[in-house]
Amino acid sequence: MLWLGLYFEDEPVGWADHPSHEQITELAYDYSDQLNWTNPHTLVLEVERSHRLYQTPQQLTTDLLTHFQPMHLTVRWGLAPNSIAATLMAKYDIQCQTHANLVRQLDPWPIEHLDIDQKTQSALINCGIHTLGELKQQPKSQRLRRFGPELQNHIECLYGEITVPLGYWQPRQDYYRRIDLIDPITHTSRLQRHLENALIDLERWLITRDRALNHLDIRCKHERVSGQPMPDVVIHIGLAQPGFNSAHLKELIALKLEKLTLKKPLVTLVIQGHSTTEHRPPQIDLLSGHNQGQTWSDLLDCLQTKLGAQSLASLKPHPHHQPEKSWSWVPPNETQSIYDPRPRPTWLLDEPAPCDQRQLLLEQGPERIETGWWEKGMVCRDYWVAREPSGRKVWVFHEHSPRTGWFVHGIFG
Amino acid sequence: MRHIEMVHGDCTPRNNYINIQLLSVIALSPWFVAALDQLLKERRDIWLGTQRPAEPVLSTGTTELDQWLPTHGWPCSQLIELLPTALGSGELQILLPVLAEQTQQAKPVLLIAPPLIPCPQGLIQAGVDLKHLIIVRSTNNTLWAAEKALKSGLCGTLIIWPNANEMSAVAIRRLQLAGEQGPAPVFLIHRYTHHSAAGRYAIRLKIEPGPKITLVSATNVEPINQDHHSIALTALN
Repeated sequence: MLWLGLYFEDEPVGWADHPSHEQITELAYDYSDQLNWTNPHTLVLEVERSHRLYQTPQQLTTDLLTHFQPMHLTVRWGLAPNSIAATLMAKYDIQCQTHANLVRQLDPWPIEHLDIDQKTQSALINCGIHTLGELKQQPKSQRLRRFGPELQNHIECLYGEITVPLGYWQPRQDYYRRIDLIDPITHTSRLQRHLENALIDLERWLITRDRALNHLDIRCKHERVSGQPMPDVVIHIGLAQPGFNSAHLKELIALKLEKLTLKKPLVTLVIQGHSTTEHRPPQIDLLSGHNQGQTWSDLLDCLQTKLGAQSLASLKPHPHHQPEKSWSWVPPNETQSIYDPRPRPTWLLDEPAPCDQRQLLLEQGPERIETGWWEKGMVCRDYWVAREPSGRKVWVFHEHSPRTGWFVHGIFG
Repeated sequence: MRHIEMVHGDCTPRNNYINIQLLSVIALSPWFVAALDQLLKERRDIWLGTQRPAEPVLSTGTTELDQWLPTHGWPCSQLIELLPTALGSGELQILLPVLAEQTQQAKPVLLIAPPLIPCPQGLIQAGVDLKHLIIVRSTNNTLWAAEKALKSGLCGTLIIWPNANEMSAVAIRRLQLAGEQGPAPVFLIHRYTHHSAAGRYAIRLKIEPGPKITLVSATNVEPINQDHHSIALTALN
């Protein structure tokens, strides 16, 4: 095994333009699947398995470091046969690929430059031990008794005599970014710019994982001031078809922000993208010539974003004999077809409205609709097709229970 | 006719001068004018500047209505205004055949802001494929949604119940321009009032329960005979 240690001069805190630990790990994840942070400044990754791809670890490192250049990060790097030594080597920019090389480096290593607490360091120096080699020469039992098991373990780990398993870092299943802003956002145009930048990052994230975006949740937090806390601004963007089209998403964001007015400055943006591995290819039918493909779902997204998620619907009939329960609103394209040969109107009223039966001419009926006693809200009705004095054809019923009277339920028109 | 054939058959540059002279002589004769008229009438593939080219229409699905309408069907890519005197006078019923045809051809049909709930069982009975019927339930931004859908060029027929506040001459004009990009007619339905917003509608029809349909106005068509000004569609009754 060969470990590459990356030492970041400034701790990646994830503030404003600074990347977070997670962002850096995700970048490095493209180079090795076995990686983790050994301390807040150092990321170690196993690179021997990438040997065939990159020939030399130096080449891999050069390639990886190019990603950090635009982030203005000062990075030092080191190589060692174990992760603990790689952490130390990274801090001092030393590369030793073999065990023999490592021992040569470690033996004259000054105690002051070890990652151990100050108290142990002074105890060692007071005993006349100034280098790691000198400490190593001490009998094992004496070392353990005088300086404790912690130091003993650390030394053995450094020399690779015992192996410490590294916590296994796994990337998130869903995209998550938290952006803390130094300069609060007061206007939506700046918010839009930030979100558009986040889309670039999201696109890279999706491509790496071969995933498609389902919906995007953006939560904008306000500055915390005394008094009543302001509720977060939540922007939800759903896609009718999983995928990623930067220009289309920008349009959807612009549509959402156009309705938004910021009452207080925003300081934190949390962006969550829910993705899927499902890939639905565009429905292209060359024979019928109806090539709706991606653009159709883009149109639905656009309408839904502006008008509201519930505003676009299809009608779904249900095989229920009670007219109120025989249909429902469903998301577009999730409907089914049930043929009912009984006379049914073209329009249904939201709620049956009382009417005067004396004004009506009953033309067709009755159709008895009765629900079972075991069902909630039992009804007993006789439906008729009737005509109003104006000539309009209506669908009326005479209810026997729970109410009594005549009601209009639909219109044939 | 003989002369024309000769002109057509012999038009090498060498003979051009003679041909022009010959034509000028022939063109003066009344016989020639009559012969040319005859020829142009016979040839269906020659377009005459004096006639208006036939605009594509969509059958209404009712022979009676097709024959009665001055356009002999619903004119495609145009705005059609239906003015029912009362809600449910038959405005959706006369459109059901178009809805059925379009949805069965997998062309999405949008109903924008309908005032009541279209009954799915009733629509299925008329042959409408609900998979391709999308209902925009929001009553705000109806004309924006219609314009967006029309500009995409993906939709079939659009039926809009516009919000009274949104109806302005500018909005109608924008909708008309967007409608030209769509392949099918666009129907605007609102209550019959004498002061509805002015606009360039291909056809405006008043619908009374029955349904009894009266032609309010129509552009680009010859004036309709006053005796046939309205029609009662007994078949739909």
